[in-house]
Amino acid sequence: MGAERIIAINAEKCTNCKMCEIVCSIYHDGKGTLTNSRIKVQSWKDVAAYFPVVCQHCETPACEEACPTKARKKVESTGAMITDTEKCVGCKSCIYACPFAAPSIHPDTKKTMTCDLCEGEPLCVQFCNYNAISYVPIYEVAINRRRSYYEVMKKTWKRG
Amino acid sequence: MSQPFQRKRLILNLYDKQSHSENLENDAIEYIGGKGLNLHFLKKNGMDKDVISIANGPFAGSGFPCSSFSYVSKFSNTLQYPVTSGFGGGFGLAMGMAGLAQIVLKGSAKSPVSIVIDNEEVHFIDASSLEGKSALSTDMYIQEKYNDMQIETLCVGHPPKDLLEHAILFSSGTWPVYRFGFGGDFVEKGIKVIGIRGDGGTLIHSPKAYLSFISHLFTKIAQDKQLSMVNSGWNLIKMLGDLPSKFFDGDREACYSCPVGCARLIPIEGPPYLGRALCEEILFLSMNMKGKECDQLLMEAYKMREDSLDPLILFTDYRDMVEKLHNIELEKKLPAPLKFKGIPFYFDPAVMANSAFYYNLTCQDYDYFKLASYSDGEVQSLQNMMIMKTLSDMIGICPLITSRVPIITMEDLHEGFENLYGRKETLDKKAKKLIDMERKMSGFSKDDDLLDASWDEKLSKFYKAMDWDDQGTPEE
Repeated sequence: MGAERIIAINAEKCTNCKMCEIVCSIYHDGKGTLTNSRIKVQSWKDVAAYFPVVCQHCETPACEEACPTKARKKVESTGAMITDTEKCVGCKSCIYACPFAAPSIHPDTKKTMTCDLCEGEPLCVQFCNYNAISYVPIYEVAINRRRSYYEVMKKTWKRG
Repeated sequence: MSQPFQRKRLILNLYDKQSHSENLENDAIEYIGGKGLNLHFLKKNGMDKDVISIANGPFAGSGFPCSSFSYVSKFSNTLQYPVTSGFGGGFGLAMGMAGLAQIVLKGSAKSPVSIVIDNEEVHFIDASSLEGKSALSTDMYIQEKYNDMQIETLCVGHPPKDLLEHAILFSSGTWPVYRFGFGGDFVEKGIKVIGIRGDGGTLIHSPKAYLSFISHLFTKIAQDKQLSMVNSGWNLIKMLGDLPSKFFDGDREACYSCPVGCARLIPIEGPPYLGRALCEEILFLSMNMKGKECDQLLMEAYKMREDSLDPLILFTDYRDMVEKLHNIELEKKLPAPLKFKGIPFYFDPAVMANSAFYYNLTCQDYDYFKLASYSDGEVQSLQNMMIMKTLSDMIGICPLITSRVPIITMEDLHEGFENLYGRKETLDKKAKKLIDMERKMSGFSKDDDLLDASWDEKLSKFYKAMDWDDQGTPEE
C-alpha cells in the first residue's frame, strides 16, 4: 500500500533556516546537529534558492530495486520507505539509484538513513515556520502546486 | 530536559599559526555563554587588547527559537573598555557542531590568512587570493574548496547585494555582525575568513520532551501580540531597505533565514509605534558604551556618511522616518541632549534608563516594556529589562525576540534550563553579576549616565535597586 499522505516541498518558501534538519536530528538521534538529519536543504546562496531534499517514499522505489541486500522496505502503516539497518551493508547503491539522492549516510552507523515520516507526524513539517514543507494527501500536491504557480502568474499578469 | 552543551574553548594564535583547545573552567561556565563567556575571558586575561573572543550560547544548535546567536567581544583600543556585538546565522550552530563554546583569536597574522576549523583540526591557509572578494564570494569559495555546503563562515568583505550597507563583518556571507567595527579588527589581525564545520552536535537528554517545549515556545512567539511592536520596527527597516528584500517577499518576512521570522507573524494594525527603531539603537548601544563616547562615535559615523565613506551605523534616518510616519517632532516630546549640525542625537546610553523612559513616553498604550509580570514601576522595569537583555546575550538568543517582549519569560528559560543552570533566581543573579562586571570593567559611573532631568530621582532608586553605590558603581 502506498502512502496516503506525502511530504510536499514548496522551495519558494524555504529560507534555509535549518530547523527541519535540527529537529529531525534531535528526534531520531537526540542530537542537535545537521549531519544526522534525514532531510537536507540544498542551497544556492548567490541566488537565495533553497530546496529541502527528503525521501519521496515513491510508489516504485528505485532504491528498493537497487538494494542488493533488500534492506529498503516500506512501512505499511505510514507508507514510509525505510532502511532495515540489520540488512543494510552501507554500499550506497540506494543513494545512486534515487533520482533525488535523498538517502544519506548516518555518521555513526555508516549505513543509509532516510525519512521515516516520524511515525506519521513529520516534525520537519511541524517546525517549518514558512510552510515550505507540508504533509498532505497525495491528490493535494498537484492542486497546491498548480495554485501556487497561478498565484505567481496572477501577480505578474498585467491586463492590457 | 537538556544539558550544558559545549564546554570547549579553541585558542588560535595568529602570529605563529598555532592552535589548541581547552575545557572551559567551572567559573567560566558560571557566565553561561555568549557575552558572559567573552567578558569573563577578557577579564581573566587582564583585558588583553590583542584578543578577540567569539562565543555562542549553550542552546546553539538545539532548535531553541533564535538560539544560534553568537557574540564577539574585544577590549576596544579606542574606547578603552570592552565592546560586544551579536550576530545570527549558522556560525554559532557550526561552532556547536565542532564542539566549541568559544573561539579566541590572539595576535595578528603576518600575511592575510583564512582559518578553517574542521572538528578538532585547524587549517591556516594563505588568503591573498581572496583579497577583494565579497563576503558571499568568500563564503562560497570556502564551501567549494572543502566541498562542504555546511561550512559556516565569518568573514570580512563587502556585503552581497541588498544587504546592510553599513556593516562590515559577515557570518555566512549574509548575516551582518552589527556595529563597533569588528570587520576592522579582523583586517588588523590579518584574517579574511573563519570557516567552521563539525560532525558533533548538541546532546538533548529527552528529545521528545525538549521538542515539545520548543514547539510551545514557537507557538507562544506566534501568539504574542506585543510582537507587533517589533514588527513596526521591521517595517521601518524594510522601508529603509536595510534588510535583504528578497527575504521579505511573499510570506517569508524574516531577517535573512531566521526560523522564527517575527516580522511576519502578526500584522501591524493601528498606531502608535512611535520611536521603536530609534530606541532599538539606544538599546543595542547602551549596554556597551559610555554616553559621551557613544555620541562622539556616532557623530564621526555621521560625518563619514556625509562624506560618502563607509560608516558603521545609520541612525538619524530612523528618527526622520519615525517623524514622517507619525507626523510628530520628537524634539518636543524628548529634547535631545546633543546636536550635530542641528541634528538631534538621542544617545543617552550607559544605562538604558532613558530608553525606558522613552518607551514609557511613547508606548504606554501597549504596556510595552513594562514587562507586566515583573514590573512595579519604571525603575523595576528598567532593572528587569537589563536582566532580560543580559540573559539573552549570555544565552545567545536573538535580542529582538527576548529583550523587548516577555515572550520567553524567566519561567520559560527556567523550564528550558532545568537541571542545567539552576533556578530562576540563580539565572537572575548570573545576569546581574555580568551587568555589574561589565559596568565595572567599563568604568561606568553616574557621570556617564546622561539622563533626562526627570530621571534624577529615579536614577538613585535604580542604583539602589541594582545594589550600586550612589555614584552608580557596583561593588566588587
